[in-house]
Amino acid sequence: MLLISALYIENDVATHPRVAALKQRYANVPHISCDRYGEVFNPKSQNFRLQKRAPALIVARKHSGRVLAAPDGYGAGEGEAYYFSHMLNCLYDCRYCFLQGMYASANYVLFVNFEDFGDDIDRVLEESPNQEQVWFNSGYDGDSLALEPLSGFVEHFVPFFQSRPRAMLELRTKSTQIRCLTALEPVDNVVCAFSFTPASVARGLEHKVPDIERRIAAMVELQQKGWRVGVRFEPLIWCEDFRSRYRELFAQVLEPLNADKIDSVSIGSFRMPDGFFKKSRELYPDEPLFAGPLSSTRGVVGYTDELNFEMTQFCTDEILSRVPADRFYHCKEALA
Amino acid sequence: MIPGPNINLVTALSSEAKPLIDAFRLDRVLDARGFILYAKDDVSLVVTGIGRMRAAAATGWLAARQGESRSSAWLNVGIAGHGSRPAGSMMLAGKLRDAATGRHVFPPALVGRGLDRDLVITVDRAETGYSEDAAYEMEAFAIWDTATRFVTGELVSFMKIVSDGPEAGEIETIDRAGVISLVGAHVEAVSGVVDELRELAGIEAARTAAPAGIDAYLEHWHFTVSARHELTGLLRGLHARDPDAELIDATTRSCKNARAALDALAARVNAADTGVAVD
Repeated sequence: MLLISALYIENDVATHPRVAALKQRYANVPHISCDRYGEVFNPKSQNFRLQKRAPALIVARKHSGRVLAAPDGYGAGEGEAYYFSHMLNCLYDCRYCFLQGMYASANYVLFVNFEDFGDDIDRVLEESPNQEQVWFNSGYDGDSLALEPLSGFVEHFVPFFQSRPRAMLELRTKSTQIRCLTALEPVDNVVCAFSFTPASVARGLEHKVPDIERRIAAMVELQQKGWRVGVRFEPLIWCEDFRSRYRELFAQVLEPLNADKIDSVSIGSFRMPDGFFKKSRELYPDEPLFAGPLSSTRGVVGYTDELNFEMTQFCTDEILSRVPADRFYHCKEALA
Repeated sequence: MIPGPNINLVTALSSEAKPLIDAFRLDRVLDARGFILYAKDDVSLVVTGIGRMRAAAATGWLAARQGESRSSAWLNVGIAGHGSRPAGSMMLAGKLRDAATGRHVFPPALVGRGLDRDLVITVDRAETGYSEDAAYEMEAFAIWDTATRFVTGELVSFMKIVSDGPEAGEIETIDRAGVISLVGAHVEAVSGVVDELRELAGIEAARTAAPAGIDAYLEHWHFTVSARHELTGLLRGLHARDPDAELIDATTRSCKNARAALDALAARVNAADTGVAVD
């Protein structure tokens, strides 16, 4: 069971059935009431790095902005793209993650009003009657699967999407928590996308993340059970022996999969808005990643253009030698 | 000036302080004026007097004595009335309310796992109505408001021990010996929380410390405030990329002024572009 240091409960959802279950599950940690989750989550006098040692769980209602348009250039599929976040923050602690720069708090926020998210998704679908498919991405403010035992997100939303074939759901994860999916029959309009960096980079930067072998095994199992799986080599991290490390990674991840059935493979550069980067570096001033060959362009920090080009060109060529071109895309936009 | 990290215990009463002074073997700091201060090693204890004004003043005063350290931890220990708990029971503050304004804050729950947490209400006059299932006292909110001007909220904690209330007895019956006894019964828990706070404060101390080698630069050239920030970032970057790098090399040493030294250092930092080191 996920350990949490406290359970903060918005008064508005105190009697919600999902909250009642969490209260029971976490009967042994302090239960603290609040009017709005922002009272706990947003104050400035907080330290994300320290809180990451023992995050609390905040349960709340998401009142607005539940389903948002994804920027152009984002996402794999044809058609309009949106994203929605039933949770803020992540079980894992990846040093390149924008969450550490975006939020004051490392506490998990779980929005329990799933039905309102569903209504908004339906509204988007109604407003796009001519779109063959509309993409809804989850897993940008937190891993889609890692906290499933606590959130019940997949349990609720996979059947929801199953009954709306025009709506495509992308789950994004580094988790091996796939029982919630393998317990179900595969659903055509749900893609489970796994993110990877080379094993040696992951060991240095992806704290608390399951090792790469276990993640590959989980991904292969899902594909073998008939689920659509995607592969996300995001973010690309400039590292010693970059070419050999990434060549090895592509082989390690892609070879065990049935190439004909891979839904999509993407790459995306490391990038972070200036303000988030500054805060991340303040939290971890000795982190080599932040002392790398980075520059700021139009308010976003990333690798220098030259280096970016070199990295993406190499990875594109390598991946296209293994995967059909129509399954590959280069994610050029960050959500944050 | 006391160098950080520090553990700062804050009590309103000398009777609340007594068991802590004994437990941590603190000595009176004789040159302290304005408030009664005890200290030993990294632990300090200030006796503020009763009420929010004195508590805020003492907290600010001690923070200033410590050079506005960003890595001091603060633990307020004191007695409180409570709407439902028996005398002697102890809790940490999970939520603080300023009774005067109705404002709430939520001290992060990183320390004291396993200990109870309650709403703590800071009032301006001793509470005898105990209308809520909460702890009533007179300093906590002011201590929070002041301490978090200097340090992050994770380093500020509040431990309250019930002295009076419907289940605990009347406030008038509490005497000095009783307070010493009430607090003394929880010294072990105080010590446990202090150890946890010390660990967190240590992380903050390492994070906010001046980078190694900065003194050599500051002694050699004059840096403006913004140039000093730049220097700090560059030295951190150099160390992050290559922990064994010479922090001030011969080329940099020959620079005529701070700007030239910063440029030379930047060139060294940017020269290494091998990327994240891997095992």
